[in-house]
Formats: sequence, C-alpha cells, structure tokens
Amino acid sequence: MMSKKVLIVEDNELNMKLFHDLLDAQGYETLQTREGLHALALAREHRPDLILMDIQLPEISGLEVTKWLKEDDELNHIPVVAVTAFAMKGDEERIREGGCEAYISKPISVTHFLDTVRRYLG
Amino acid sequence: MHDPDAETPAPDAAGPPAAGVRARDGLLAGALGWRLVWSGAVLTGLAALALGFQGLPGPAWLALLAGAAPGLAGQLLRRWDGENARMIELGGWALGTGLAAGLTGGTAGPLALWCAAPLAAALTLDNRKLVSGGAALSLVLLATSLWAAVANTAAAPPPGLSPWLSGLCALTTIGGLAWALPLSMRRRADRAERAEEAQARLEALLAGQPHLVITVDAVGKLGSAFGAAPAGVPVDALFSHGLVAAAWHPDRANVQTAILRAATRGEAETGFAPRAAPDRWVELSLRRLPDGRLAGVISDGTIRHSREMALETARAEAESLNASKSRFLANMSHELRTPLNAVIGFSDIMKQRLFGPMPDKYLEYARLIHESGGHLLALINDVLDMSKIEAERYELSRTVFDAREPVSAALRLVRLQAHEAAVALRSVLPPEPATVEADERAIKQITLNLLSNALKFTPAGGSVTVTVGAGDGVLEIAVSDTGVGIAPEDLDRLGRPYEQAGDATGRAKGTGLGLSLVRAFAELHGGSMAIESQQGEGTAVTVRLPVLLNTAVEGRPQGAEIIPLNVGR
Repeated sequence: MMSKKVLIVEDNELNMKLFHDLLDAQGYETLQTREGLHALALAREHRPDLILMDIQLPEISGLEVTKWLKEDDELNHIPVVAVTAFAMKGDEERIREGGCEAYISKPISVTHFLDTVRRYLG
Repeated sequence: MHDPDAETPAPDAAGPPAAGVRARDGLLAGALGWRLVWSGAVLTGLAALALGFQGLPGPAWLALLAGAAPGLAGQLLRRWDGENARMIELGGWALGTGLAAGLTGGTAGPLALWCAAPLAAALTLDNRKLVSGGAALSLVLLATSLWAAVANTAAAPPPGLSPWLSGLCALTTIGGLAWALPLSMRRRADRAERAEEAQARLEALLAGQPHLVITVDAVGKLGSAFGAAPAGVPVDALFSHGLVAAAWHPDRANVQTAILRAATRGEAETGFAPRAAPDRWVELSLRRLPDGRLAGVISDGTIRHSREMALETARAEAESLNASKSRFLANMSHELRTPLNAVIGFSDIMKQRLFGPMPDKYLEYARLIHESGGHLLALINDVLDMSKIEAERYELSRTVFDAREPVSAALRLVRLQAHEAAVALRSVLPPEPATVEADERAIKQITLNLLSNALKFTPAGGSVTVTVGAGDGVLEIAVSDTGVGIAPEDLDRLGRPYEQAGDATGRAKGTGLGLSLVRAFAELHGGSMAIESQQGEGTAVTVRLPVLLNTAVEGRPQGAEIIPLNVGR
C-alpha cells in the first residue's frame, strides 16, 4: 500500500521541520512549500491526502489558498487543516467559512497534532 | 434677558420694581386728593345754596348730590385699584355728572360744563388709555346733554338759581382741570426723566462690564458696541469692516457660520483668532433679538483656549502612545509564539521519545524545556490579553456552557504543579451543571490565574481550594489558600496591571498580570473581584459574574487544542 501524502504549507523553517519530522516518523510522505501559489500547483500535481495550511503566510493568506482549493472541483475533496499561531476573535469563523475542516493552534501539542492528522488520514 | 413675546411672564414682571410702586402710590394719592376736593367743593356749594335759597328745588338737590358722588365713590380706588377699576370709576364720573347736567337742562343748563368732568378725572390718573377713555366719555356726555337740551326733557332750574349753579360748575370744572393738567404734565416729565436715568444707568453698566457687548445684523454689520473690547479686536475696525473681518482669515468661516446659525436657530457660540492679533483667541456668543438683529458678547479666551489646546494635544499624544504600545505588544506576542512552537514541539517529541530511547538526564532536560516553553507561552498570552483589554479591543466571545468544565480544565492544568509543591488541591463543584453564557476561555483563565497565584504563595503542606457556587443569576468562583497572605498596604495595589505584593526580592515569578487579568475579565462580564487576606493565614479571592442561565443545556465536547469545526456551535 502506498504511504499517505501530506502537503505542508508553512513559511517558518523550524515549524516546517517540526511538522515534517513528526509526519515522517509516522511513515507519512510529505510535500513542502512556503508559498500559497505553489501549494495550489503541488496539490494539483501530487494530489495529497491532507493539506496542513499555515494561515499567516507572507504573501497570500492561507485562507485565500484554501478558498481556491475548495473552489476547484478536482481538489476540493482534500481535507485542509489550518495551523495558526494567532487565533483572534472571528478567525475561527473565517477559517470555517474558508472551507478548512479543522484548525490546530500553535504552539502545537504533539499528541493532539498527531491525533488530528490521523483522523483525516484514516 | 426679558422676552416681551414670552407667554409666561418672568418672575420679576409680576409687580413693578420698588421705585415704580412708590411713584404709583404718589400718583394715586394725588388723584384721590383731587376727588376729595372736588366733592368737598360741590357739597360746600350745595350747603351754601341750601342755606341761601329757601326751598331749593328737588332736581337741583339731586343734581348737586350726583355731581359730588363720583368724587366720594372714587375713594374706593384705595382698596380696589387697577386699570379696569379706574375705567369703571371714570364711568361713575360720567354717570354722576351726566345725571347732574341732565337734571338741570342739559347743555342749555348751568351744569353743562360738568360734561368735561370725566376727562378731568381721567387726567389725574396719568394713563394715556384712561385719558382717551375719559375724553370719549366726556364727548358722549356732551352729546347726551345736547340731546337733553334739544328734547327739553328736564326743566331748567329757577332763573335766580342758575347763575349760582353756573358759578359752582365753572369753579369746579375749571379748577379741577387746572389742577389735573399740570399734575399730569409733571408726572409725564418725571417719567421721562426716570427713563433717561434708567437708560444712563444701563449704558454705564454696559460700558463698564468686562466684555464687548454688540448688536449686529444678519451679515455681521455692527449696530452698536458697549464695554471693553478684548485685545486684538479694535472697536473702530468692527464698525468699519464688520464682525467677520475682525477674525483672522482661517477663522472667518467659523464666524460667518455662527452668525448664520444664530440668525436661524436663535443662538450660536464660536471662537476665533483676531486678525489684529492672531496669537490671541476671543470667544463670541450670539443670540437673536426679537427684532431679528443679533446681540453678541465678545470676550478674551486666550488663556482658556491655550489650556484646552494643551490638554487636547496631551490627550491625543497619550492615546497614540497607548495605541502604539498595544500594537507593539500584539506584534511581539505573535513573533514570540512562532519560535515557541519549535521549542515546545521539539521538546515534546523528545519527551515522548518519538525517535527512540534517550538517557534519563536528557529526558529530564527535555521535560524542563517543554515546561518552560509552556510557562513562557502563558505569560505571552497574559500580556497579549492585557494589552487588548487596555486598548479596549478585547471582545468577549460568549457561548453557553457548563461552568464546571473550564474550572475542571484549569484544575487539571495545575494538578502536577500542586503535587510537586506538596500542596493539597481541593475543589468544591456543584452537583448540577452550572449553565452560563460567558467567554469560556476567560472563565478558564480566571480560574487558572487564581489557582497559579494561590499555589505560588502557599508553602508545602498547605492547601488550595476552589469553590464554584451558582445562584440568583450569579456564578461565583472562589479560590482560597493557606498561604503567606497579603499585607494590608499591598491589598489596594493588587489587581492593578504589573503590580505585585511584597518587596522586589520577595516577589514570586510572574508579570504581575495574573490578578489584573482576573479583575479585567470579571469586569468585562459585568462582574467583580474581591480579595480577603490575613497575613500568615491565607488569602481568598472571590469572583462574581452575572452570567448564570436558569435553563440547563447539554454540555458539548471540548478540546483545548483542536476544535473540530463540523460540531454544531
């Protein structure tokens, strides 16, 4: 059986490494990008099983990228879990409206992080 | 200012001023004296004729009595006075003297001159309306007497009596008029003099008061000016160039607007820098007068204005400073959280030995790093919350939940800490759900901050108890400890941002934000926080929040870190 693929969209190098190492240790394959636009292209090319989306991206907000993903008939079945460092009032509402399936707040707890990822990868 | 058009009279309009009362009393005394003398003269004449003429005819008797009666009746004015009373009294004169003339042959008779009596009586009363009324009555009398003479309804008195009656009539009428006329004229002169004096006093008052009082028309052209002009507003220039031109050009629109507003709405206030002295400030207050002109007061406001400007500048500076502080703190917090994610995450991986075994010493270090990271995160959250509350940008996100849940969550978070400090942790929660509508994170934060504080200040062997009470719409969370207690002089400072009890060396770790956040969260919910403490015995902090709902709702699953969005909220 092919290992599950997770696309990580995250602009901070350390956090990227953290997520990658955690997923790698669980036997998941990862795709990585720091840019929202590139994320869309990667998703189309590799069809990942889950996307971890940082909301505070340098150029285009992760929410915007999620909206594009969910508007795309070929990609909208991929679950998107938002990862955000800064949950302001109203953010949760916007994340839900943007089409994310769940969100994880930073700093993460390893146990909760892995539980959530497993829930969407089956 | 009196408004003549006002429907209800001003309080001092109920009676004339004291000088007026005296003048009126003097006037009435003159009129009453005149009437007494009139009646006296007529009655004396009657007595003389009655003695001189054996068998004075009845009509002559009656005529003279009728002629004397109004003067006596007029004495009633002492008791019952007023314009109406005086008019009626004049009517009495017309009746009496008219009857007298009618009984003695009308205009053809010897008492014809008495037709002028109402006019003479009116003259003594010194009132234009009454004099006109008296003159009218006299004319009516004349007409009636003329008719009486023509119709010959009354017989003339015997020829021997007529000259005497004529004499008496002429004496009283001419004497009466001769007395009443100067009386009236002197009064008029007095009145004019008094009016002039009053005007002079008024003008002296206007000229002596400390502001410039002006009248202007609707375009700002000056009608008159009294009083002291403030520096920079020369009165000559006001008269020649008008009110608007007196202002420095950037302020002219203000003055123009104020004039327009006063003309349309009745009043306006403004201020302007004068053209002749732009470093100064004058205040202008305008009111519309009943005739459409505007009355204005111009006064110096330089000191007040500069004080206000200084205050306004200071306020704006303080506000912008506070706003930038809050922005800085918010950005800072966000920047600090990102590296913390790595610190907490990687140490968590090590702690859980996700990639295989590790010496125990390293495991202990990993646990310490993870714990310190968590502590740092809590501090950052506190600073961020406080900055949001101080910037009045914190919005409660109210939901309906069982208040026991966030309290239990807070208890779980400090259980390990309590165990390590050898402090007994107890909780007294109600057996039924305490359903509240509040900010759940705030309730958890309140409990957590109170518990951490209590644990920090309670030595080993002591105990910390959290009690949740619910009733009368109020949720009560009380945390008591058997700790060191708080000195009375420190109690006041506690709960203010960044304040801590004790001296610098004795202070426990922390930002000093814990209690002030508790108080701020309580107040955001419309509630309160109370501290009771005995030094050496312990402290109890009680938070009361008016957030309790009476209807119970089912609790919903809660996750501190992961919030599944497909669960209905």
